[in-house]
Amino acid sequence: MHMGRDFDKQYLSMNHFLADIEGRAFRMAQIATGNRDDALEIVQDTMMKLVQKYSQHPATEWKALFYSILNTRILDWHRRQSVRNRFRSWLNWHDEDEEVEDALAQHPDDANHAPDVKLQDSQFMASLNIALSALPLRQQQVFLLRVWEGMDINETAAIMCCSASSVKTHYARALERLREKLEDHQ
Amino acid sequence: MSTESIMEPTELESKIKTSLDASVMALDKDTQRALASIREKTLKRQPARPWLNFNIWGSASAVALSALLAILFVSPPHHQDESLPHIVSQQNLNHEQPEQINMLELLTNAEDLETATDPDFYVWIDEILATEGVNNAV
Repeated sequence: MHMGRDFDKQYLSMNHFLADIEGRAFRMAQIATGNRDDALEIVQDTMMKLVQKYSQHPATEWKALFYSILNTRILDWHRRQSVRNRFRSWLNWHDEDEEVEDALAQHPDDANHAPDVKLQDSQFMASLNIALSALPLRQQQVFLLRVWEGMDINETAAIMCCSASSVKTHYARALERLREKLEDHQ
Repeated sequence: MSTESIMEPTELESKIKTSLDASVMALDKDTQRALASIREKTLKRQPARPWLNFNIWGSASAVALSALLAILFVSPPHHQDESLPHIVSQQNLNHEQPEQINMLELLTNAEDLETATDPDFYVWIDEILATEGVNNAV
């Protein structure tokens, strides 16, 4: 399945490549973290590592390398959050207000960074954000790489450092969940 | 259940992709500026183009050396050809060169082709050469 992104796109420069990919990378990080600033930081780290370590690689390899770094950064962010949350619960440090705040932060597009209201199907967009954010991280990453970036199973498996069959499983489960949650919009 | 069979609702996938693309287009100005600024800062730290990189100069030198060796192999310098006559003694050269030239003239002259194919011609030329050999010896 290819969703029509131009895979063989030849990037004339690193600037051209980053300009093309930065918006999608930011949105992926935002969906994964639920936080704009953290998403920007993740994108910055990813760009920095790509440029400093891999800019001499052929341009055709940049996209896979970029998403590999991005997904690792997102995974690291989740691990840190997990440790932080455990620490908080150990100290019994969170109260009801904070819980409400966290829940809101899970859906970044609901507040300041909402998609443009001029979008024809803004309700679908909002529901999609919620549904994607609610997916387990691996399912979310696989789904976005496959559907949004149009990567095939093997490319996705290489980026995610997992087997092709895992990619298929993650994708199937993600799609099933999204179909359930978005059925009202179909 | 195969993944491909699950991917039947292409309409849903297309709709999701379209919405995600639209969400990028609809990013607020602050975020767009922040991303552009990050990109700019990142590119400033990009390592310089490796014009002095050994890999590039090493490869270029290897190609140049190979080309030079190939040229030398295919067309060796002329002085090597010219060195051969110097090895031959000048006396032998003086005796042999006119004979060889005469023979060549006879064989390459188009008018004498018929003569050259006549067996009597070779008997005659042997006699001539034998006579010249006697005279030279004397």
